[in-house]
Amino acid sequence: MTRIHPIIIMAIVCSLAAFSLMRVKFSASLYEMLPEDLPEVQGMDRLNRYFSRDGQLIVTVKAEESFLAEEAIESLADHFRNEPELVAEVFQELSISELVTEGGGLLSWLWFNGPPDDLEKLLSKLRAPQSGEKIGEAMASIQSAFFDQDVIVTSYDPLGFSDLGTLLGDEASNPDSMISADGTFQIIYLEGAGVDFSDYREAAVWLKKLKTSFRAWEEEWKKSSSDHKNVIIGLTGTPAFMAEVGAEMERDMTVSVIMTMVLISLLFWVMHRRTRPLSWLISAVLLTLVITLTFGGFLFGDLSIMSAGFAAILMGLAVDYGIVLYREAMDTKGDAKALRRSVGPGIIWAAATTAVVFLSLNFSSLPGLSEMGNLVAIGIAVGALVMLYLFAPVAVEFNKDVIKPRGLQLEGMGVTRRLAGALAIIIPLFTIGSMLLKEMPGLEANFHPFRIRESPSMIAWQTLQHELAGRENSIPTVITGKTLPELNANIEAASARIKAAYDEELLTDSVLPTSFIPAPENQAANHIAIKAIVNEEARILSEISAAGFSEDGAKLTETVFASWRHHLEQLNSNTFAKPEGKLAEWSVNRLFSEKEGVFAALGTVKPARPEDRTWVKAICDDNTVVASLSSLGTALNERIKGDLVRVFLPMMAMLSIMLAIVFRSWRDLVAGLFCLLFSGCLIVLLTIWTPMSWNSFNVCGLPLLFGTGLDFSIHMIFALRRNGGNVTEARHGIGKALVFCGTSSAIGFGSLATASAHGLASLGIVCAVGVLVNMIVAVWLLPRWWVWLHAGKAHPATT
Amino acid sequence: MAHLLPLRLVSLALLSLFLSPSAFAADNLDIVKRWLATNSGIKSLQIDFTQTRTMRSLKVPIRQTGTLWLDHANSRFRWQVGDPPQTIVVKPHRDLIIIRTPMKKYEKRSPGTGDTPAMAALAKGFPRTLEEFQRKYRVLQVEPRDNTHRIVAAPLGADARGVQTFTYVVESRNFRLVGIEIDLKDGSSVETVFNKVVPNAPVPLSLFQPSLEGYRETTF
Repeated sequence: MTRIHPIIIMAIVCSLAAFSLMRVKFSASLYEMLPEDLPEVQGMDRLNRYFSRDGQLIVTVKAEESFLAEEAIESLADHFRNEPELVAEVFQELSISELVTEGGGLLSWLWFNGPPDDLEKLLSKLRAPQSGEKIGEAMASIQSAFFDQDVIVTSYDPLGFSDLGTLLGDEASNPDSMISADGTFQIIYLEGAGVDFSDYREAAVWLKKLKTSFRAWEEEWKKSSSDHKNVIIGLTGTPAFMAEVGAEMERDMTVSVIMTMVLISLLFWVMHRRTRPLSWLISAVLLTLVITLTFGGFLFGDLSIMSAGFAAILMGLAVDYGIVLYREAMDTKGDAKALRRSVGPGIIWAAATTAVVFLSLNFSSLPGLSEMGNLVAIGIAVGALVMLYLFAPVAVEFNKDVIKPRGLQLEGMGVTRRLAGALAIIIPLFTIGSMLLKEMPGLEANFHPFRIRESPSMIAWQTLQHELAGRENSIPTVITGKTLPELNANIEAASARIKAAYDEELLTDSVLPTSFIPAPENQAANHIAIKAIVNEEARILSEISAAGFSEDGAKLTETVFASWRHHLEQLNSNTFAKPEGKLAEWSVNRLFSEKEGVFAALGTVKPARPEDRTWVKAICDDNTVVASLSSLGTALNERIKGDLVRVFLPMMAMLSIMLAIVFRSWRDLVAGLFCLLFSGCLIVLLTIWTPMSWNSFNVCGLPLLFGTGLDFSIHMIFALRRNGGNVTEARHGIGKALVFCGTSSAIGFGSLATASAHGLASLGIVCAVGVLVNMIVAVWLLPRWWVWLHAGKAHPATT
Repeated sequence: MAHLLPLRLVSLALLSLFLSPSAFAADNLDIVKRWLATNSGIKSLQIDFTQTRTMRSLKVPIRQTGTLWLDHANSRFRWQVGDPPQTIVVKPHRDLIIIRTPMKKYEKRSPGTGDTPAMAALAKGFPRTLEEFQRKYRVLQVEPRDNTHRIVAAPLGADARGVQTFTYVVESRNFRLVGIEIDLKDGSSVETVFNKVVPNAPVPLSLFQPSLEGYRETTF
């Protein structure tokens, strides 16, 4: 076995592990790890499915003055138009002249698709002799009116096609502007080209190339004027989010794995001072990871952001089995078979109970957490087998002629003997006092834990929501239907519920895209009237020209007539006509979608109190859902609290019964349960008096802490029973193993503190702290309490 | 002439060495300051003007004459074109009232709805201090032409929407404003020439409260 140099073995396994890590694919969609029955999660899913454009990047520009923002945005748009390999199209706020050429397609469709009564009002102005009068009035107004926006619009639209009146309804009050009110914030949309944007790795490569191109532009542009230096440019939108989330998850997994490996190696070195067995131990841990990743990839496909932390947790737990084997090999001096016979059952049972604790996460409402639990459970089973069958022979080989070192001594120095009793009273009382006088432990009511921290694309997105009029606090609302009539009926029903929510002051604003949804019955009814008026185009255009309007002044009218002709042709082969032209398609596709046999409409609502879920319950049903992150935080907390009651309390009861059966001694049962209560008090105190806090993510670590706490106290109580209550001996034996296991588990969890996802990092910190607390209590305090409980009584081991 | 070109380029290059950006900016601001100084102490203005609108959407430019009264003390104005007036725009308080006399119709409009900076510049009055001017505009260039200085400025903030540049034309000898040119982004322009300016002209309240009897409220 030792003929092969361990470094070579480790290099091979390391390469395999690196290869496996590289092959792991993450799902960059955060909603996939959330409870899918929540309307907020369904809203995020449907928003992404029907309206998100994977390749659409938003470039934001913030300048001190509007002209600087405009200069930057124009220059950027030009720059990216000259990068056809990276950018297929650039969308920016249209100028008046562009609106004239592009806007006709949208206006003509809105009239064609609108109620026949509204169309009739327009057509009455186009028929002779009213058309001549209307054009004359327009010219008179242009000549004598106060020179304002209306005059400019009228000069391009003498017949008033853009005067949509009530046709637009609510939508008119909420234009999808790309420029802030003061003009200092502007955005453009870039439609990416050349890669498959549904793959976050490809999106990341594309984004990297785009950023290189962007930086070249930025350098040149900022050099061109001192005014340009203070312009802030941000990138956001789906490809930026995907690339960022994907890259961060990969980084989290790699960093936590490396950090765990290094820290566990250091710990091993401190305790055993040997490198060769360490190399084998690390190889065995990495092999466990490789096998688990292969299984995980096969069973779960893409992993969620929560699962990014599983590898470090697994390594922290799997190494424990190796350590137990290694220490036992020092004592038994037999062969691997004998070693397996003596320690194997213990390891198998420990692995089984830990795996059950992790599998219990399947009862959680968070699919992401269940996935992580399943991965760790699989890994623990694999780890136990790898250690028993591959590492055990190595452990025996290395300990053949080794004299067991005395090593690190775990003494209480008399302190624990003096203070254990007092602490048993003070800590619980102090915890109750802190809860009553300072704060009761509670969950943070926000979506924070599920987000990437310090995300540049999220910062840019939040700035965009804040700067652009009408977007702040607007919650996307997706309404779906299997057919167009069903969609229209669902919109009507949603509209009635939204109105009722207004009356109850649950909402302050709402926009439903009624006029942007194709209405085949309106189009069929308008068909004949439109057919009649398009025959009068030549007369109308000659009237416009005769009144003094130039070709530019007649362009919008020409576009409207051309589009109407096209819509009439479309109706010959389709049930409804779709808008034509870049602006029209852009506008309608942002609000209406037909994908996967589902028709979807996108509106917005503004709740009065976003975190309060009453408004969600008031307006949502199976076909109307909201992508609201504010209320999602509240919803998740409600759900997690339910989970705790549903999962954690029965689990505690079951484990208590199990403890009673295992110990068959009320004193040991009291000692074990008090140990858990005491550790719980310490953790609660830490969350009250330090920045550590509970959220809907890290609170799911409670069952894990409960499991490890129980595990540690069982080991210690059995050791004390075996040696008749000899505290020093118990600490020297099982105590050392618990210190190593606790520390290595804490390292595994603690390495997640640097994770990009708030929740994962907080889960790592809470679990690391909790495991250490459990370990300290079990090793240093529990023995004293046990001795005190058994004072004046013959010990079970001796009876 | 061709052989003189290199020499001219050298002269221009030398000249540019002396005209550092800061010196150039200071010079520009000096003219702006001197123009703004002519407004100090003025409580009201009456301006008779001729306005020429050259619009891309029209075959021929539109020329009209009118009068603008500005009451700085009470932040009121009245603008009218035609003789007799065809269109009157008054701002007695917060709202704007637009009256079309031939149609016997009027519209009340809240601030910020539909008014573009082109006219808003006149309606709000001209900047009266350098600080106010710099808050609203950035001077792009000051160009001497004939007997005037043309202060070409880019509007800042919300006033910039749809507008390329504002050009304030001031007389070289006394720095009084004699006209404004507004270039819009669609290629259109509005040129307003001041035919007569009466500082501290009487501005009775009735001027800003025209009778609307017989007029019908509408939305133009």
